[in-house]
Amino acid sequence: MAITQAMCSSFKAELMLAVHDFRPAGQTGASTFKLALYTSSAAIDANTTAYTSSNEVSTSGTNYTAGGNALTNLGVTTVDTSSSAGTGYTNFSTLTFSNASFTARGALIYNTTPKSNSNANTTLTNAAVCILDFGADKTASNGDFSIIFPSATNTTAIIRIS
Amino acid sequence: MSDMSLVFGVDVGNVMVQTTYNRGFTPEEIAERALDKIVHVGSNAHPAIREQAEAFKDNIRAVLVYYMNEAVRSHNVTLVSKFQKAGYPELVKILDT
Repeated sequence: MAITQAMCSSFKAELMLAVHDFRPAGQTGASTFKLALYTSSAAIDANTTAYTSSNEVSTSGTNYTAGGNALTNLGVTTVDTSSSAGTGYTNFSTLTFSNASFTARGALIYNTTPKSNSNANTTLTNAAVCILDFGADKTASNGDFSIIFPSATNTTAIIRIS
Repeated sequence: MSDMSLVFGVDVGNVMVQTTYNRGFTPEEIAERALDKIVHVGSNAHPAIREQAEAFKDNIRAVLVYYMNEAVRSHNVTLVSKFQKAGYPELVKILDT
């Protein structure tokens, strides 16, 4: 069992199927992305294709809601540093679970509103985007649990295509 | 025969997790987060540029902390008013601890 940070392979394919819409949160057509938290017992990695409740942080007495919380997407930026090295990237605002009492080792970002079906034309549900490994167990007790996204640049943003 | 395929990379960045015990975040802690969004110094930046950016960060940090404390103080005034209007003046003492 392990949490391995990765961009989900299914997500890479779904980019070519117009499944995910990273326009800024609130804009018409934008997908809704959520972040779910997991304990160190979870087995999530590049092969994860959709949200799973297996080994998700408990909802009992933790103030954590199954499925996690919605993210605020900041839209897509393009940096064309040269004709061959341009990068498109997107980022999210800091997400805070308030009055939290739980321990988490990693997270899954997933899309609750996929825009189209799979390549086999089957309906996608809660399509996985990427896996985040916190590096160690992180614990909040009657406090705040904040996931702070990296600076929105072409070399650091949370999702980058180069 | 030349290779005409195009390869691109999809990368995931690294998040940072901050937690608290029996409290929320302080203005100083939140100001630090804001600073990282306002001023980002690239790893390959010239030392002179980096020095200037760090000095700018220090100035901005002080301003952010000052006004965040003002916001907290002002919000507490709003809470005092709400507690008193709701008939719970004893809760005001909690805000002073």
